[in-house]
Formats: sequence, C-alpha cells, structure tokens
Amino acid sequence: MLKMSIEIYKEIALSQVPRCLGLGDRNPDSKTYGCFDRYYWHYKLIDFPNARFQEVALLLALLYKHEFPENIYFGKKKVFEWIRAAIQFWAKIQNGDGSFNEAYPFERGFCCTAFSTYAITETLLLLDKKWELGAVKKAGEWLLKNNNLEVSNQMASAALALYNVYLLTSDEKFLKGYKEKVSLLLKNQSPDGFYLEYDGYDIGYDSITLGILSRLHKKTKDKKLLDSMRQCLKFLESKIKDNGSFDYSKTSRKTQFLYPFGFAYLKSPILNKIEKGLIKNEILNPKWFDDRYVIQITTDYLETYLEMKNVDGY
Amino acid sequence: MLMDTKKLILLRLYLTTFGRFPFFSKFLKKILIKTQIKNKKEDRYVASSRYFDIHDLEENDK
Repeated sequence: MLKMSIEIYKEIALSQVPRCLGLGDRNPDSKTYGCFDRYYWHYKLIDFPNARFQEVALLLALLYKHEFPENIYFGKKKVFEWIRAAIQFWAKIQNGDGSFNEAYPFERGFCCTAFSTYAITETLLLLDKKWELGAVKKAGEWLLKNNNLEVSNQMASAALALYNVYLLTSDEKFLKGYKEKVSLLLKNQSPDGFYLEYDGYDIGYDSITLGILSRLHKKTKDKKLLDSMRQCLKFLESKIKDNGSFDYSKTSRKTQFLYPFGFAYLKSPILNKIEKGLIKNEILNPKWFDDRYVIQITTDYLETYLEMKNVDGY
Repeated sequence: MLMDTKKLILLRLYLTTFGRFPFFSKFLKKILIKTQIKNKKEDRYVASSRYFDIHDLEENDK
C-alpha cells in the first residue's frame, strides 16, 4: 500500500525542476554565473544574493547521479556544470568569517550557514568532489563556534553539516562539533517527543528535523538518534490527520508544510496520509510554495522517492 | 510593521557600516528575534508560513 502511490513524490519533484533551474544564472560568461537567486541577478530587486538558493546544487546532484524513469537530467554534462557553478558562487558570497546571508547583508545567519553548508557538502560527497574545500572548512569552523539552541531544525542541520565537513576533511574537530550539536539538540527534546522550536512544538519544523536526523542516522547508525526520532514520530503521529493536514493554529511557528523524508525513512504511516492529501491536492506541497523555499522541499520530495524506491546508489 | 523606503535606507546604512562587525550584526538579530518573534503572541514572523490553505476557502464562506 505504502509503495503504490510513491510515484507522486517523483512527479511533484520533477515538475518543479525546470522552475528551480529558471532561478539560476546559467550563462558562463556572466559575472553571476551559478547564482540561483533570480531576484538578485536577473530582476536586480535586492542588493545581495540569498545563499539558500545555492542549495539547488543538491537537487541537481541527486538528479545527475540517480537514474530513474522520466529523469531527463541524469548524467547530463550541463547539469554537472551548473552544479559546479552553484557551488562556486556559494563560496564566492561567503562572509569573511565563514557564515552566509539570507535576509540582509552581513546577516551571518545560523540557519542559512547550516542548511547551505549541509546541501553543498552533501553534493560534494554525492559527486565525490572536493571543490571549494576552503569555503567548506570556513563554514564548518563558523558552525563550531555558533548555536541557535531555541530552533531545533537549525541545530540538526548544523550537526549534519559538521558531520559532512568531517567526512570531506577527516578533521576530528568537526566530528567532535557534530557530537556536541546533537547532544545539545537532544537535550532540547521535550518529554512528549517534539523538538523545541522557540517556546513549543511546530509540526512542520519537526518534520524537517526528523528528516535531517534520518539522514544523519543513515550515515552514523547512532542508536541514540533513532530512539529520539521514534519519540518525535510518536508525537507527530498523534497530530496528523488522514490527509496529511494538521491543526497549526496552536503551534509555535504556524508552519503548514510537512517534509516527507523522515517519515519515509522511518516507514511511518504518515507518509501514506501525505500521499492521500497530495493525490487530492489538498495539502501544501512544492507546487504551492514560493520561490524562496521551493528548492528545499522539492529536494526532500525527490529524496523521499529515492528512499522509498530504493533507487541504486541512494 | 511594514518596510518603507526610509526604514530600508536606514537599515542598509546600519548594515553596511556597523553591520560589518559581528557584534553589531548579532545585536540587530537579537532585536529582530525579540520584537518579531519572541515578544509576539500572535502574528509572529515566520518566513515559511502563511501559504494558501484549502480551508481558507471555507472560512471565507462563513
């Protein structure tokens, strides 16, 4: 039953790829070649590029690397070049201290640095490349020195980014940093199972945290992570309705989305509920998202498909 | 509170001068989190929220 409609994740993800590619400057002669913030390089409406758009590198790398039906991007040289350009532009816009900006110039955002470093390092691992390793190390060092304890999804992402930096550099300080971040994150887990998002639970962000921890567990097989994730899953299973919707009126951050990867990894019936909502087009999904966040959720949908289909090499 | 031209110019002025130094950039972030998120019980700022919900249609009919 669970695998019958899994194709919907692939269909939705693939439907968003041309849109994501359209966000990027794909002209190799351009000064902003590889920038995927269209509001910056094309419309010129803002005075700095949002580094989170560079996370498109991971979406493209997954498509480039994995062969599956209807994936027209598999093994395409152009896609490979765009991935490299996206990573190079990411390194180019890094702040001097190793951090990145999302909302305004010189922001030094923890969220942006954690998530974009994760996406870039995951791409490098996937393609077995060591491009821009200097920028990767600098971002890792910045993450070692900074925390955002009240926002669990960001802490989880920083932990995963640091683990990846360790895999790329073999520098033990990043492994130690990863362990510290995980320990701080697990301390912030409520006895009810949810991960803290400011002063309470937020179902949408908990689905992101669960997905990130699933990716970490896939790499580390750390039993502590699995136990913690199962507690969170139990909490979420009590909140999510039959079509994947939920009451977000009382959650701490009022997010309406669900990132499905964690549910796929843990083989949760929630995945089946989301599928029902998607088939009826009743719940928030990548097609309904704005440009700013479409890349991340599309990547999560694609990884959900790859995970459930057990696509070679994933 | 909406952004307007004056506020935007002042913000950019701050960011491109003091904001270059981590202390001032962190200070601004703290203020923004306090005023836009923590001290607000309703209408908290969350970038990835307020998307269309199918139930919005039902509420409009009431």
